[in-house]
Amino acid sequence: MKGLLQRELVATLRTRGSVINPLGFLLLSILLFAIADPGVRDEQSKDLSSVFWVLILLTNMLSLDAMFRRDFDSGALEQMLISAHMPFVAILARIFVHWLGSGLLITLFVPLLGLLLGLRPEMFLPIMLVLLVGTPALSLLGSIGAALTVGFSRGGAILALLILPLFLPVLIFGNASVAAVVSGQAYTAPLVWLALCSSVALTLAPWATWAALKISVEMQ
Amino acid sequence: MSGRITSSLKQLWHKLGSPRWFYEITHNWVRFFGVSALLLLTVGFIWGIAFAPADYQQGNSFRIMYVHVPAAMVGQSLYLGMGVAGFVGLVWRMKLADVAIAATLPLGIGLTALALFSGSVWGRPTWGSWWEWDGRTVSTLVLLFLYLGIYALREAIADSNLRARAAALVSLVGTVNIPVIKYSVDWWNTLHQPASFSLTEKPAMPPEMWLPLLVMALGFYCFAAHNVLSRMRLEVLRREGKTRWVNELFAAPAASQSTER
Amino acid sequence: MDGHGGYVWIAYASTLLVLAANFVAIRWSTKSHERALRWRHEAQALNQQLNKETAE
Repeated sequence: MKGLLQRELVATLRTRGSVINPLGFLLLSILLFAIADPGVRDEQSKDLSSVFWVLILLTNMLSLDAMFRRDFDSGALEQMLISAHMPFVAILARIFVHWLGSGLLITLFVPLLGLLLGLRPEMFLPIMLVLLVGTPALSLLGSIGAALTVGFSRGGAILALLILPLFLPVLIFGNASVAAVVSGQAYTAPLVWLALCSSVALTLAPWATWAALKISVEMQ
Repeated sequence: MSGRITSSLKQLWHKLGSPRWFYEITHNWVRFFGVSALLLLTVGFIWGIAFAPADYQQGNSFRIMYVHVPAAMVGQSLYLGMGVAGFVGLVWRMKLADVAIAATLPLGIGLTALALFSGSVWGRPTWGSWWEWDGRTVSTLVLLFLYLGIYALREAIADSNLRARAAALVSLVGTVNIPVIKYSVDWWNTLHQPASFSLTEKPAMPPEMWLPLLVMALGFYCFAAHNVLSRMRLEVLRREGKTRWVNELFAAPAASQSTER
Repeated sequence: MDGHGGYVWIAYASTLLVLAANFVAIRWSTKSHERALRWRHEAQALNQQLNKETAE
């Protein structure tokens, strides 16, 4: 398990672009938003939290394509599905590493994003907690779409069409949590729902991803 | 004894998966559903538009309910049906399951879009706007996108076997997600409820109002059964076009003609 | 129809349109496919007959 994770991590770090580019996209789109709507910096602005989560959703989607792409092209994916005695664990490790490079990374960048968006420092920790709880669901659900479209040369639009509707609950509960944090209300209720989304995704999504990968490998 | 039962069950299951058996047995079903749909829809349309009493609050725009609600109901049921077909297709690799998914898609998309459109036409006189981000509206819109996702995926995969498996998987995933999406949208909706009265939780509709709705709903279901089964039969004919049973099926009249000459 | 008639007619007409379009689409394609199958079979039968005649 440890060796598996290490291998995945090293491979991801070697292709830094797949991690850094989406992050650049996130920062840049916040910049665009701040320019298009100066009110976004306003602390009481309701737009803030929604902009935040929508951008995280889109950033996550952008990085999904890279999840299986390289291994698919090199044939390592087929090897993994055939030889790994627990493909389920291998897939979970891959999703986890993707989350490290997307969800966790964005979480760590919250203080910087918060400064850009004019959030007060005492909000950083609760928002980081919300992201920590919510983003695993994005990587998990997204892995299904990534696995299905990895065989397509132009899978981007279909990936979005397949995955964004599934992201909706995460958006709703995550958005409600951040909005509650920003307005100083209790945010436990939406946070618990968010955690529920992530745990349900954790138990079900890897199976669907496994099935999807088998289809994609045969397509090759 | 129990072994015999399971083996005969297995036989039935294989029969169920056989395109030929399906084609032969659904011949009469299609006719039955078609006639029922024609009768029920004719009665329902006339009843709904001319004889059902006008609502004391909404007046005559209330009549839109008789086409809007059945369309939304059947649109949703068809997706659930696709999910079941997806499960069957994934687990037992039944070819007929993919035929069912392909046959359900057009009508499902049509009815869900129709539900959105008629809802918007209904919303204009009652809510005062063509579009409200109401919970049901959002759920229906998401349902439409789930349909379109499967449609796009099917279009993108050339190999029929892999297309079948991918579509089955996505319909299953979508069906599992529908309750979660619905719940979260309802939750979201209670946070900022638009200022409108509820359309569906009326204080007990009188029978002269809900009876035409029942007739319409049954008519829509019969129409859907007729439409999906006909599409499945055509698809079966297309896929099995080279087999002997299809050949024999269409040989009889042609052979008699040629002997007459 | 107290001023709402237009909305009601639009909703009913669009419903009829969707139902009719779905019905007609499948009916026409079924008929044409069945015709094609029959035609194919007839062509095969004629071909066989021709072959037999030339053989004789």
